[in-house]
Amino acid sequence: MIEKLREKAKELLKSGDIKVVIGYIEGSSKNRIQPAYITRIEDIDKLVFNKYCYHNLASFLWRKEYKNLGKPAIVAKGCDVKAIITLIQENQIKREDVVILGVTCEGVGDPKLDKCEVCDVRTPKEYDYLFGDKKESIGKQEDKFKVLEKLEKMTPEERWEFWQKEFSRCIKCYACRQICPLCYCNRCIAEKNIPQWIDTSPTLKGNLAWNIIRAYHLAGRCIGCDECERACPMDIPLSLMNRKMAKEVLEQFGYISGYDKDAKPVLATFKDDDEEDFIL
Amino acid sequence: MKTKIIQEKKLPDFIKSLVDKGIKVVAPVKRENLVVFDNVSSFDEISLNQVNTKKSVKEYFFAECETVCKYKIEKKDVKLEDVEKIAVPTVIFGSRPCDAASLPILDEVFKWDYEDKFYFDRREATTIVSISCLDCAEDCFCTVVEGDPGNTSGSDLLFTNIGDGKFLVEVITEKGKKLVDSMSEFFEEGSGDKDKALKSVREKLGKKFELVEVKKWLDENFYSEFWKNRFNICIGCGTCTFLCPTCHCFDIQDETTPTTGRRVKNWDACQFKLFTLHASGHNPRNYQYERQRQRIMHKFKYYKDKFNKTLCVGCGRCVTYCPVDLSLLQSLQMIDKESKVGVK
Repeated sequence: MIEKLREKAKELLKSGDIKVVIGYIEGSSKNRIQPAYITRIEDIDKLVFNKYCYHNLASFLWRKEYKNLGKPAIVAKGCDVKAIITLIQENQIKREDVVILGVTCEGVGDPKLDKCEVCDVRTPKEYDYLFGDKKESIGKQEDKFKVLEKLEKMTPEERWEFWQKEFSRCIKCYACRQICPLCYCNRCIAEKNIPQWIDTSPTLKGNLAWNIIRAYHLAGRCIGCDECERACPMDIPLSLMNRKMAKEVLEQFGYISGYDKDAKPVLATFKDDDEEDFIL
Repeated sequence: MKTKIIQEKKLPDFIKSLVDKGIKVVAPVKRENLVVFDNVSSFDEISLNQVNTKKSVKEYFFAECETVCKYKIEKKDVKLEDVEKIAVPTVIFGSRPCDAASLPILDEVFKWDYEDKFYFDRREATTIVSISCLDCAEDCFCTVVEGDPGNTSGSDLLFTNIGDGKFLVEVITEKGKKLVDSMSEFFEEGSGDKDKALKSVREKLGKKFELVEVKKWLDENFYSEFWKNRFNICIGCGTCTFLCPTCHCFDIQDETTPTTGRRVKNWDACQFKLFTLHASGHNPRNYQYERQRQRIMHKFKYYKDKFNKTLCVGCGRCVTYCPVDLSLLQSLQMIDKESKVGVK
């Protein structure tokens, strides 16, 4: 599979259609993988794909470090493609301005990550070229929310206690935001200081403000790649909060993000037949 | 250096005795999947069989969030209030030699142009009892940056497990001696073969690159293409900075209501875009690779030029926990190689 991917990548670079290939290469030691952007054909053979390819490379599509390199081809797993679809929906990138080198994936991590056990995009939903045998997805949408059962059984007071305990560990490193493919705001709300909407201090107040506002700003958008949870150095279960918000949006608006590039972002659109007569 | 022996089986009572004296005891504890430093009241809360903790000891000296002063506004008057005494007698038990070694390095900058009272009050009030490493992680490289699994720098007492249920105790400083004298019932006279105990871990650590070569290359190559080519994949997450025992940048913020406020000093990171953003909108470190270059230059060149110490203890946390595997160790090895080959 990787041979065919490399071949296609070389072909695309050679044709001049693509100026950069965003993919995975071997990392600093065994079982470690680094993201890479490759502009030279001789480097294409470094591309790999295996179960340690955790990274959601979609964020490299909008970072200014790459934007001016030219049209990209990007190696993308099912979850990464969901992020790319959302970026297209939100006008961060045009579909015709990216070549998606889709890869089928049975899950990353050793042991396999939780999100992969309930994955429904083992074959990506959108791609220009597909590499790897088509894989059946065993997960269903409802499965993704099973992990919330423990939280949902708690009373509101217990849930508040739970989140206060988790967020007391937050050190405001913003790794969650930096790794997220959908946190592309040029100036994050936490970076604004006239007024300082979100306390930057790693106190409980500041931590709750930050993590809650991020969950809100991702509601209806987060595609559940769980990279934020992987990046968090303090092991905070961020995926639980994002998953809960996704479930709320699905129940209230019948919408789940990352599947249909022509769908309009749910919390940024108003339809004539909406139940409410005002946007609030 | 004076040495003593302490029996491993006496450690629980040793800790209990410290706690009973009203001393704050801080040690590595397990918190779900993490091992971090926290207050303990007994030895069985302590976790000592990991190579190292997730966060370093620096937060006990350079606080994550330090209230610098408070104020009240009454009519048109601003009344400043000093913060109450924050340092209490503390023993940090079970830090690793690399973390302990970070403190004499940090001392330089915290006393450089003015003395940081918050930092030094805590330094004075804290006795550091470190434990030598008998094993290392894949990412450790303390031996390259003038450290060692049995390094005494920064510790007041260093315990080394020499087998037979015994720890060799090196009494390194006056503070260490004071602690031993005040708890003399736990210590026996004696010595031990520290080198024998540390032989295997020192061999495992080896010498992963040469610091002198790195410095040489950094002195000449600020404008090298190497920076952009390697470091542009950094996502600017701040993990390396916040877990690092020697990173010490901070941000001053005011948290206010219309009539009261407090000024805080919070951990900051040069990896953040905002760190060098000017009010005009210009950012001299506009791209992530420039910010990564700053980090490496600061640690391995500027701090060395200014204070004759390298701002790194080789703990390897930045290597292990970087979400994009932008391994500092690998970067330094690449620089070492480029320096030797003479390629720019």
